[in-house]
Amino acid sequence: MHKNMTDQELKEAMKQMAKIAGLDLSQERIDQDLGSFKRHLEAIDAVHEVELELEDEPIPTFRLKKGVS
Amino acid sequence: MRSTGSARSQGAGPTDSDLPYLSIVQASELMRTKQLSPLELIQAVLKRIDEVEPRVRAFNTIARDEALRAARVAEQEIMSGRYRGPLHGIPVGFKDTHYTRGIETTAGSPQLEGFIPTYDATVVARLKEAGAILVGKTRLPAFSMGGDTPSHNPWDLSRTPGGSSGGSAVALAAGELMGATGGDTSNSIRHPATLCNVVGMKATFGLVSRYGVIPISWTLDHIGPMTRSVEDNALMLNVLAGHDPLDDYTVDVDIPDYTRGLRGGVRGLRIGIPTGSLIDDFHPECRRAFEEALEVYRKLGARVAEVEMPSTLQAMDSGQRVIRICEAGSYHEYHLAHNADRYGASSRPRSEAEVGALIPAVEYLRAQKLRKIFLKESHEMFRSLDVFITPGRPAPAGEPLQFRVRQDFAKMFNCNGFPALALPAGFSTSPPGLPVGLQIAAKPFEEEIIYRAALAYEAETSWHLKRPNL
Repeated sequence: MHKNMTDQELKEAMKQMAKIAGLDLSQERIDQDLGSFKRHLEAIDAVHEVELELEDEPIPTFRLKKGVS
Repeated sequence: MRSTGSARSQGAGPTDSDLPYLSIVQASELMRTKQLSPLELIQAVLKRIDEVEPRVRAFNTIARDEALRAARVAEQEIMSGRYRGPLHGIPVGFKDTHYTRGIETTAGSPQLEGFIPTYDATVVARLKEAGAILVGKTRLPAFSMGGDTPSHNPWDLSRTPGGSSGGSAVALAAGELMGATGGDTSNSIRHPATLCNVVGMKATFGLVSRYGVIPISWTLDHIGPMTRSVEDNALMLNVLAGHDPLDDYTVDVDIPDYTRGLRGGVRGLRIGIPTGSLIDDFHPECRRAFEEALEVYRKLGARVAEVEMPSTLQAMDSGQRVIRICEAGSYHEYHLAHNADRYGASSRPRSEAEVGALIPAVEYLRAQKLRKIFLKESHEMFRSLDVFITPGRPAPAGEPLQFRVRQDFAKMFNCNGFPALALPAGFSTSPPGLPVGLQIAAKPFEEEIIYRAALAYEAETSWHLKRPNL
């Protein structure tokens, strides 16, 4: 989807997403971050190339230990 | 302590100018037997720093007074029979992301200028407890983001030492330290170790505590020792490894003596290597060194065979980026909200953190789902192997490549958490004199096998004994 977007459209999207994230990104910052944002979108696309099963779960980061409390 | 009649005072041992390049094994033996005092050693190292530091710029902070004070204490302890072990009196440095009580810790960023921790990172505390002497805080790119440390490679001062633990690698290669710590999220111990001709271990995820270390990415960050030799590295890991109740990710496993099996040899060892086509795009000098290293292993009786890589390897490299940047965005949330203008001229950490905040959580979780599949495939890949060996880096420091490298076999070990070590494997001939390296990886918590394989190669080649002409 983003591949069909112009730089201007991507910058506008960044601006709106930043607002939602509580970040006050100036136009100068958005201009500077555009390259990094595009690389991230490409990385996300590459991850999407692997088909996941509905049951697949993320690698665990939450574990409880017996006898701690 | 240099007692009359000692081997050193009679001229049989190393001269003062040799002291900074002693291995930890050599220096500790001299100190244990009271032929060398910690104070003499620290003074020699500080003198070396005075000589070469203006050219290599390995340190953010040099803790001269603290080092001399600690050396005097170490000297008294050893003289009174309280020898703590092989790291007692050894000069070490810490990457400037590792909290050091009372000593500024900046992560190389103006964001943290003037920050003086009130406690030591666990790795710092453990090395101090073992008697090691903190000499300084080593340089890195701001917040460990980026491959180029603002230091100079001792083998060619015009070239990068790599990064992000570049200051640690530079200080070791330049004879300014005997041991150092590094952090590795994408390759940041192994990359500078390779470019500077030193040994760097990214231990198994969970083996070494990250408590008190400024993170990039909690689930990808690894901490490990950097040294000039394999045995020195094993000695440091003996101290660094182990469960830490202050780091939830550390694992409560029995810690072996990593020096125990070092000389077991590699006869019958099953070595996996990538298929040739996967390193076709590497620099010819790195391919040559790799082939020569494999010949050494074959000659020593190891069995070398190509292995099939995980099917999700390439996608996982991209997933590593998603995970890293999202977690970095979370860590930097406070700085972005309160002090964004303090990031300074280096905008990379700020850009990456800002973009990390824009990635939807579902994409982060997708990458972590991919990681679980990748981990399963990694275990399958290693089922028929003892170690997996690759070139240390696709190219020597600062050398251009004809093609974009598809796979550098680095981030995969941050994603699956398996241990991986970089060690010297020779020097380029064109251009001349740039270090190239090897990477040796193994199954989780099998650092002993890595060290055994690394020592067997090191003993045959001795590349680690070369010194840069500074």
